[in-house]
Amino acid sequence: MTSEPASDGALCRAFLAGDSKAFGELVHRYQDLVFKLVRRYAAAPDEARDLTQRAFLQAFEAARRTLPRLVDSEGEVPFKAWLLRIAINLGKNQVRDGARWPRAPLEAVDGAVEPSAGAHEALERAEAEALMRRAVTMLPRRQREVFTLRIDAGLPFAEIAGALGISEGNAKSHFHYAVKRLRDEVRVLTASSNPGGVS
Amino acid sequence: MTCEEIELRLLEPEPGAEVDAHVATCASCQAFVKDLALVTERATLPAPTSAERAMLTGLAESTWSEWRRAQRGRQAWVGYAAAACFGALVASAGFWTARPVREVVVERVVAPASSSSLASNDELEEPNFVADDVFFEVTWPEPLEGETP
Ligand SMILES: [Zn+2]
Repeated sequence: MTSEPASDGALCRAFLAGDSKAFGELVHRYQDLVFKLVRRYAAAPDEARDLTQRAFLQAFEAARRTLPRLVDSEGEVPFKAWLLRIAINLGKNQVRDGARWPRAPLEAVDGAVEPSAGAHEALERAEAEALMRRAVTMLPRRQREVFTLRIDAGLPFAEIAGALGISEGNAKSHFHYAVKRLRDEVRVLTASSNPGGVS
Repeated sequence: MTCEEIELRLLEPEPGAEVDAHVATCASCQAFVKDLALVTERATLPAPTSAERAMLTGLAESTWSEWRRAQRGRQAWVGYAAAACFGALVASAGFWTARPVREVVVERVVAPASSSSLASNDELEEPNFVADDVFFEVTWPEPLEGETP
């Protein structure tokens, strides 16, 4: 017989009662998800790790601040929704504060450039991806939130809607607008890197 | 269904036969299918490398340490604030009674408040940590009354 994993709410209440294991379990449960969200905005892996840690600290602080209500109610605690929103906002603030993109194409972060690839081609690809990353971060706030929760975190629209406090239809609509906006960016990029007009 | 409605349905994992039938005969929706695939491909980040994944080793432990450090700083900060309030109270009492012997007491009681300017970085960071605007963008539950900055 297997026991159900503890709910986020149960773990939050246990942590607030002084159980450090509950704290650790919540971190283990969501660290990959948060890391996937913030790495889009980070210039280096250690910066992504730092943002991940800060997201958890702020989510736990949110839990601590609402402690009286958490203890008195048996209701669900939206710890995951807090984390997601905090993570994407921390990431966005990181970009705003640091303006890091030109210095850190994705390949530099991930070490994904293969030495055998043509240097020019690799550079073009790195530039295109860096520009695309920038375009994503420049999306209007709601579009960016929905888009990154979908693409980076891989969440279904229903869960995205729940995390952001909007309807599922609204979430889809924001994603739809984001796709069209980014498509236009891709076209501009393609045209500028390929003046001959072949797309 | 309009093309706009079809495009929204195309965002679902299984759009359905009705959508498939429309797309088969609609150049505009066929173009959207291509755009969606292109944008998704270009915007998707490579999977985290093993070096990146290794970064998360020990995250729970280090985050717990940081949490404890921040909480100690917060308690110290609250303590300093309480001492400063108490010092201010005593200072006002000293002012109103205006007796020289009280002034000596005032200096001694106020000391913890002025020493807060010499507090460690840990302690000074704490108010920023609490007041981070990111936290206040969390809308559920709302901050308790009086906590909104
Ligand atoms: Zn159509």
